[in-house]
Order: sequence, then structure tokens, then C-alpha cells
Amino acid sequence: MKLVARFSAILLLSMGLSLNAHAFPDEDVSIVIPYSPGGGFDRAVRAFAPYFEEHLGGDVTVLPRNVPGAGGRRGTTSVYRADPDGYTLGIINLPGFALPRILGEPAEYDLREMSWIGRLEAQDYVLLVASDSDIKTIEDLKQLEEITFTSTGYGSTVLAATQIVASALGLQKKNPIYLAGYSGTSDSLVALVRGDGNVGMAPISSAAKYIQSGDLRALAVTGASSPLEGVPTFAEAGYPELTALNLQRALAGPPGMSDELLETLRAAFNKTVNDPGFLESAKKARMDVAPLDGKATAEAVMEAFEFYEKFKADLSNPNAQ
Amino acid sequence: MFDSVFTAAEYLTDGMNLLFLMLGVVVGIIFGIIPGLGGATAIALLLPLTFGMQAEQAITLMGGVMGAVTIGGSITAILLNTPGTAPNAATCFDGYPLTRQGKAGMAIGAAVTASSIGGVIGAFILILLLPVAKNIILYFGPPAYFMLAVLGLTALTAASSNLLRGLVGACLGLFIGFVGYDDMGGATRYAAGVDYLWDGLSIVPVLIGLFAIAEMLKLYVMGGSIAKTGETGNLGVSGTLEGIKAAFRHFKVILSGSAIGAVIGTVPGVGGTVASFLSYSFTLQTSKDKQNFGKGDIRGVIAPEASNNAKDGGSLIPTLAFGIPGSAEMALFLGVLILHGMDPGPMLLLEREFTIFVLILALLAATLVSGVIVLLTARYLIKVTFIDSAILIPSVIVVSLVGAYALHNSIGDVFAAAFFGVLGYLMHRFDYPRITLVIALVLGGLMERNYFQTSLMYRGDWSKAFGDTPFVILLVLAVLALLMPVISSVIKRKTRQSV
Amino acid sequence: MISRRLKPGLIVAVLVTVFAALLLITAYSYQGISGTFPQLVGWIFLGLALLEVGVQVFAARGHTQTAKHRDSETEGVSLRKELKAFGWLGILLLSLYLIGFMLSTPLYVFAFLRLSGQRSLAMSAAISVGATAFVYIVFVQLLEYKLFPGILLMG
Repeated sequence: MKLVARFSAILLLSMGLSLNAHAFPDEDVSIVIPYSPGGGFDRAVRAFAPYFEEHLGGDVTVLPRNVPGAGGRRGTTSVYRADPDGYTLGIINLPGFALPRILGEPAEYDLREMSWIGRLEAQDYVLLVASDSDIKTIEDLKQLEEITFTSTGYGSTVLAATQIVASALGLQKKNPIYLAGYSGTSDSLVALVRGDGNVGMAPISSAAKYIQSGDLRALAVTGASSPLEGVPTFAEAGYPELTALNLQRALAGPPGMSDELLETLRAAFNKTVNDPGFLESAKKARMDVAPLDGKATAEAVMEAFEFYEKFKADLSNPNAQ
Repeated sequence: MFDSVFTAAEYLTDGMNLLFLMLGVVVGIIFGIIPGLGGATAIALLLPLTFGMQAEQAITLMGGVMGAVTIGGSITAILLNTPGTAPNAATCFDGYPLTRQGKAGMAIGAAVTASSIGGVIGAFILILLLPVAKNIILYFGPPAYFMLAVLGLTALTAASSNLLRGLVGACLGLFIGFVGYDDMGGATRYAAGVDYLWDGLSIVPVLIGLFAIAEMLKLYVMGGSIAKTGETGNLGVSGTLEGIKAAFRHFKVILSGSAIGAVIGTVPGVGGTVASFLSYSFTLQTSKDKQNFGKGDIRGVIAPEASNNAKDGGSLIPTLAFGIPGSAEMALFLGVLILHGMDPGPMLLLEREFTIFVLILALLAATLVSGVIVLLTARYLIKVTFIDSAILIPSVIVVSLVGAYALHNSIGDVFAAAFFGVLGYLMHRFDYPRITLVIALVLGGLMERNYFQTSLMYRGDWSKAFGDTPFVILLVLAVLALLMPVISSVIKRKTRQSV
Repeated sequence: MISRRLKPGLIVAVLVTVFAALLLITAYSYQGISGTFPQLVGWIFLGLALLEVGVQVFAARGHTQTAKHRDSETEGVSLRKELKAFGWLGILLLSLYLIGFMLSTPLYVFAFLRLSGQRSLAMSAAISVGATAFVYIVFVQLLEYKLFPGILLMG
């Protein structure tokens, strides 16, 4: 009797264990942050991780992991090449990480193949001038003879955005200068205030404080609606093709993840972005939460590629001879 | 404004907050000592700990780290010829020779004193300049930064004992700086398809290699221990006291060092390292008897150490005023600020006066407290230099390489450090100065980037640059720096004739 | 006598010149502004290197301070020792690459102390354990770094 009892106990236990062994997640999940600690992506993932962990279930930790290098390519490549077992995920900068491929450079990954779990944030761009400038509207800008944009370097999303706007507004024929050597968006905005250049683009969240303090004036924003008082969208100003120009942060896994794995992760993702605790945390981390579920994110990726393909001719290096 | 200062001071002395300050200081010293780790890594590590804290507590913690790091770094620079952090690099040049002469205690005493006073001066300059911070940042544009880099490079001519080889070293340094993706021209330079090199060579593995590893290689080849046994008199308390007195004797050096540190610290991207080199150079060029520089002149320790603590004050100006981080450390600190609801920018200074004063006072306190801690533990630290090389060499090499790896989690950094270790050894062996290589490496990027920015800005017409005041001032200074050796020898000849 | 001491200096100068030439030639493969500074610095570098070669050649005739100065610094330096130093470093690198930090540290420290330092078994073991413990406690535990495990063990 005792033997049978013990035997069945062991049998049941091992059945239970083997069932568990196939249940996801049963070890720690890492979210790769392709930048050094301290930046916006880092903050976003660290705000997101603990709530994601809760909603994922299992008794595992979700670990943010910084893998900086090559402007984000190193981290993204490591996610792209990882096993599609769900334990390695990454936070992706759209269109940032798509640009190398779009610009025709060798890229070890293709964002269109990755398994999209969901989009965390989206930010629109704003067209800016210094407040002491005479330029008050887009029309004023188009009248200028000498146009000098301040921007970050070739390969950056801000420069791409700048070139696209310049193209859509028909400014290319004025041979604008692109002061594209600033090390960061903040530097390029300060340069605009200083007067190194007379116009620039930036994500709204980066520019907000300069607009608030009155150092910079916004001319127009991308996106469907304008969060800034008195500032029209590009669509309202007559350039609807610029509406889709934006910056997104999304969570993805390597290509080839199984449907059920993706389901689990997407479900956990959706629960997390609706969790009021997370939203509190996100506000503190100054995230612009604009969630999209996994499927819609995958579509957004394709749309982004199409958008940039359209403007491809305008995206070559303005300072290469 | 003054009542804010008092409330801030009160805040800091409150139990829990004092604890955070001390924690920050201890972490800062340790991270400063281990080459490869530094303020940035320390802040990154402590960041998650701050999630539950009040903003001011987090700031106190980080202020403690930032104030203490370069003091920790000066110890390794002096004792092991390895800068604990990049801004300590210049301290090696005279600090280490002093150790070899058995005068480590004096060097540490002087370094700590200079650092503490420099930090205090830097904090005061920060307080003074914060109201006009915005104007300061707006004052300096690409033309000024370009000329600043040129000024720094002309300091090379004074810094090298052998001019020709010094310049060769500088060219090498410039080329090392060219490695990687050029985001202005779009080409990836000197990377030969190696992924790791795409980002360029970061200064820390290069420094670890050129100094720590090269030093260990030297030690292996020549045997013995770091300190040539003999003069043990200058270790221990009397040695450090001697150093403290020396620092006060050369108070002018502390003043100039701090001023340079605070001002150059405001330049985003290069601040600390450049400041300490410029300070070293300036002191070298303006001293009457220069022959001991590089061989153990105490002023060569005082100048850079004063500036690398003053730079904390300076680098907070662009960080707080505009959210432009001057360095990786500042970038992380910015992250801490944002996390706790502070939005650096023109509004911050008006809205959060109290918090800012807590930061400044924390920095101040940290420099002083870490100084005291180091002075107290100096004699034990110095014993390291008497450890036999067989034990020291593998230990230092291993810890240095781990530190190099830890920087970016990259095995590439380890290989880079080893490569530069061999290069550093060879440079020493064949009498090529390493200091010019480092200066050029740090400044090259700044110079190139701002050259093209200026050129684009003025649409190729450089005569417009003469309308930019800082550009003109720095140009004059650069010319002076170039002519200084000539001028001083002319003056010397004249005074000799009139005698 | 003197010329033998200076020969290394000359060899180095020539090598540097060759290296500078290579850098300069490569600089011309970079388009536009990416090439500007490398080309400029390349020419300066080449010029300086050639000057140094000249100095080395002509200094062979005159009196040499440098040789005397280097004597005191370079006593006891032998090529053999230098090669051994590089060899140790190379082995450490290989080991780090293959089996990572946690395994290489004790092995390397132990081997170095035994073979190069001629220390006793006990001493070597103790110090290698100490060094490894330090790395482990500070970097792995306190700092929670995932130290490089070596490509053989990365799986």
C-alpha cells in the first residue's frame, strides 16, 4: 500500500513537473534595451517591466538588460538572433532601427520579420523656430532665402524627419543647410535657440520645455491632432502626407515565435498597458503611453516602412559630397 | 535664496539623508578606485534603489557619488599609474613618479586637498552662475567649441618633453579618435568591418590599457615593486600632512585649476577629462621652474585634481539648465532627475530651488567627506605599492580587464584595453609620450565636429566667425599658448641680460 | 656602440612612417567631409614621422643624450622578458575569450604566481582564490554583472 501511494505520488509529481516545464514562462525573461542606461528607452522599460512581470504570471522576473552599441543595432541584432522561445525580448525604436535598411545600409536584422508584442509609446514631431525669429507660420518659412536646419547626425530619426518635412514643404529647392553634427536632440534644440540655425524638428516631448519657457516657437505638428495650443497639425496646414511621421517604441521578440507564445505575451502586454499602476509609473517616467496591441503594431511597422520608402529619395546624407 | 541654502543644509544633516550621502560617498570612492567603473556606472547601479525615495534623497545619494568619484580615482592614478576615471588621467603624470620616489602619502594628501577645495570652488561657481546658466550655454556655439579644442591641442606643445615625438603621439591620438562611424560624412572610418569599432574606441578602455596594463607590463619586465624601497618617510600621516601643506602652499594652482575645471566642465561631451588636462597644461606653461613636471612635481597633481572636482559644478550647468548632459555620468544623473519628476530646463531653476541647493550642498559635503575618508585610509592604500609585482601584476590586470568589460558589457573593450596596454608599453619603451595621445584623442572629435558645424553655419565664410566673441577670445588664448614657450624664453633671456 | 643603441629608435621611426602612410592612403578612400580631417592629419603625421626618421639618422653622428637617459631606465630590459610579458597577456585574452572571466581569473592568477613568480602552491592558490573572490563579490554579486562566460561556454 505504502509503496503504491509513494509511487503514485511520485508519478503525479513528475507529471505536474513536466507539465510545468512546458509552461511559459518558467525562467527569467529579459527585455533588451539597445541603449546605455539613463535614457528614455531605459526609463520606459524599467517602468514597464515590474507590471509586465505581474501579468505574465509564473514565478519569474522580467529583467531589463542594457546592450548598447552601434546606435541601437547591437541590441536589436541580439534580439533578432535570439531563440524565439519568448525569453529574450527587446524594445524597438521605430523608425530608428528601421532606418539602416531603408537608407540602404547593411543591416543584420529586418524589423518586418520580428514578432511584435505591442507598442508602448508614440510621439509626434514638431517643427520649431526660435521665438525671436520673424517666422510665425509655415508660409513665412517658405519665403526664407537661407534655410539652416539644426539636427543630429546622419542615421538619426530627427535628421530623417527633417529631410522629409523639407521635402514635403518644397524647401529643397532653396538648398537648405543641414547642421547635422549635434550630438543629441537637446543640443540641436539649444543650437536653434542660440541661432546656429533657423529651423529644426524634434519629438514633441523633447521640445515641450523649450516651447513652455518661450524659447522656441512651434509651427506645426505631425499626427492626427495637436496637443499644443494654437499650433496646427501639418494636415491642417495643408500637408496631410506628414501626418504619419512619428516616433514609436514597441516591444518585440525574435522572428519565428509560436502563435501561442505570442498570444501569451500579447495578452500580458495588453493587461499591463491598461494597469493603472503601470500608467501611474509611466506618467512619472514621462512616457507618452499610446498603446497598440501586437497585431496593430505589426501593421504599424509595415506602414512605417512604406512611409519611409515613399520619401527614400530625400533621405541621402545631405553633407556627403 | 539664502534661506533655501539653510533649509537644504538642515535637510542634509537629518539622519536618513545623511546616511544616503555617506552611502553615495563610499560607493563613489570604490567605483572611482576601480578603473573602468566610475561615476556613470555607480549612478546606473544605484538608480533602481532610488525608485521609492523622495527626490531630494535620490539627489543626495547621487551627489555623494559624484563628489567622491574622482577622489577615489586619484588614488589609483597616484599609486598605480592607472586613472580610476578618465579625468584622473593627468594626475598620473606626476602622481605616479611621486609614488615611485616613496612620496605617495604626499601625493595623496595634496590630491585630496586640491580635490576638496576644487569641489568647493566649483560648487560656488555653480551657485553664482546658475541664474545666468542659460546665457552661458547660449554664448558658446560651434565656433567657440572648435577654438576651445584647438586651444587644448596647442597645450600639447607645452606638455611634451620631446616636441616631435609628442606631436607624433598626438597624430596617433587623432587617428584613434577617427575610428568609427562618422555621422557627419556618413563613412565608417578605420573599422575594417569590425562591428565593435563602429562606435569608435571609448576613452576608458584606452586609458586602462595605456596606463594600467602598460604599467603592469613594465613592472613585469623590470621586476621589483612599484615603490622603490628606501624612502618610507613620506608615507603615513606625516606624508599626507606634507601633501596637504603643499596644496595650500600652491593655492594659486588650486584656484586656476578650479576655474578651468568649472568653465570647461560646462562644455558638453568632454568636460572632465579635457578640463584636467588643460589645467595641468596651464599650470605647466605658467610655472617658472618646469623641469620637474612629469617627474614628480606636486603641482602636477594639484592642478588636475582641483579641476576634476570643480568640473562637477560646471557640468551641472548645462544639465540643469537645459537637460544637456555633459558626460555619461550627467546623462544618468539626468535620468535620476527625470525619474523623480524634475524636468531640467529653463523652468527647473525657478521651480525647484530647494532641491538644487540640496544637490550642491551634497556635492560639497561629498568632496569633503570623501577627502577625509581617503586621508584616513591612505596609509593602508599605499601599502599596495609595496606588494611584490608577482602578486600585483596578475591582480591589477584581471581587475582592470573586468572593469574594462563592465563598462559596456563588451568583450571588445577587453581586447582594446589589452591592445592599448601593449601600445602603451611600447610607447614608453621607445620614448614616445602618451599624454599627447590622450589629449588628442579626447579633443579630436570635438574639433572635427565643430569645425564642420561652423563651416556649414557660416556657409564656408569663416570671416564671419570673427563676429563670435568667444571664438575670438579663445583664438587669442590659443595663439598665446603657442607662443608661450617662445615668450618665456625671450623673457628669460632679457632678465639674464639685465642682471 | 652608440649606433646599436639608436637602431631601435630608427626602426621605430621607420615603422611609424610606414603606418602613417597607410593611414593616409586609407584616408583617401573616405568620401567628402569624412575624409577631410584624416587626410589633413595624415599628411602632418607622415611629415612628422619622416622628420623623426631624419632626427634618428643624424643624431647617430652627434652626441646622444637620449641614449644615456634611457640607460638608467632600461637596465634589465631584455627582449625575452618583453615577449614573455606579451605572451602572458595574450594567453589571458585567449582564455577570457574562450572560457570567460570566472574561470580565467583563478587559472591565470594561479599560473602566473607559480610559473613567473615562483611562489609556493599554497600562496599561489590563496591569492588566486582571493582575486577570484574579489571579482565575484564586487562584480557579480554587488554589481550583478553578467560577466562574459566565454564563447565555448555560451551555448
